[in-house]
Amino acid sequence: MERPPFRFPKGRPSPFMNMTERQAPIVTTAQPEDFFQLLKPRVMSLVVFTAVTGMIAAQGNMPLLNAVVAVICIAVGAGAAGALNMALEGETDALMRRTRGRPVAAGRVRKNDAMSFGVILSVFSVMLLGMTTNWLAGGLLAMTIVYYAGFYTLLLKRRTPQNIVIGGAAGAFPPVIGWAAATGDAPWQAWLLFLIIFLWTPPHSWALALYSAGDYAKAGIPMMPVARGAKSTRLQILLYTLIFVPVAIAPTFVGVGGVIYGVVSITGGLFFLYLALRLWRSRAGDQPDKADAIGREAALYDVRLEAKPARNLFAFSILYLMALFSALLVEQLPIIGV
Amino acid sequence: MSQPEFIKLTDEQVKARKRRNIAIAFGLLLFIATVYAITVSRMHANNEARKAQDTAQNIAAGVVVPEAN
Repeated sequence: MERPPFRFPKGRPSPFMNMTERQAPIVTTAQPEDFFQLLKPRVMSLVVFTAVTGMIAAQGNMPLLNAVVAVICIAVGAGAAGALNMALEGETDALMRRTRGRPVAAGRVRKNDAMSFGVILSVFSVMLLGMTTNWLAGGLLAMTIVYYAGFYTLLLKRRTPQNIVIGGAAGAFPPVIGWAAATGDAPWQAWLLFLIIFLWTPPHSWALALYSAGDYAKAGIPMMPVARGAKSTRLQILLYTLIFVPVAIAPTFVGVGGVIYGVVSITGGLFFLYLALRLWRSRAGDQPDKADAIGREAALYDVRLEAKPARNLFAFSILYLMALFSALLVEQLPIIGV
Repeated sequence: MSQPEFIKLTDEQVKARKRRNIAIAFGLLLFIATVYAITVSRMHANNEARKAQDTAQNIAAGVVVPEAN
């Protein structure tokens, strides 16, 4: 049966729309923890990890204090972009099970407060990173924040199914920023690390979207399974994996990674490819999640049996990225004398 | 003349505001301490670099600088 073309639902929420029903009162009971949640701590931890890897792989001659402050600045800058994203996406977040507990979506923090928080942290983190290390690193951090909060959140996310492909660049910048902070330069080796995360993002995000497409459709976000269907998404995941795996292995052959990295990237890459092939041959995402016969909503991350290959690829993709960057870190440790 | 009306805060709102204020104060102190430490660190690094540059210039010019006691 021919899949009907994707249409935005009528009256879809816009980031510019005034929040009404869920807007927190003028005097809120927001706790500091709510503001911490605005920083997307889990994303921040991944940013810190990849930035530190970039910093150490660069083998620069940087005082420890400056390195620590630089990492904090990169983490806070990434968090500030997350806060701006939540401020702009409050209404959309409220429609999705994965995001409706976020502080702005749940009405615990006012949209304007989240926006101010994000802007202030952005300015302070960029200025401090520039002062502490160099303005190339500061400029790259500023660009990442604008790219994520402005370009991705406001322009791409709602307009194209390629949103995650182009927007994925924002998540790929931290190792380059770390490298620039350590050396004042951003050579091709740093951009190779960028490319690994950039090409990893589509299979990772689309695998998740395959078993949570219903939420994206409800929120009017044209994620690939919503806009082009599950079959096309599974094929695109496989195609991206075919490009991603050789790029992930490439550092072994160009002197960025060593033997440990080679073993991890090749064995993990082959398994990644196997999972992508299994997903391609599966029927994951063909049956969008919806309420069951008695109207009970499926719990978040409830995975239908046929969608398990998507869940497996999603879970392994996180492990693989962690393993790649951990291998790079481990190999560099003797060089820095730890 | 009538008295202006103000919002009467609940206990929960006052407590939450106090906690937020403490968090802001802590954040500001941390920021000030970081800027201070980075400034000292960079001044020290710049002084060392200047000393090394002066020494190199002196050696190139054949100037002998008496060592400080």
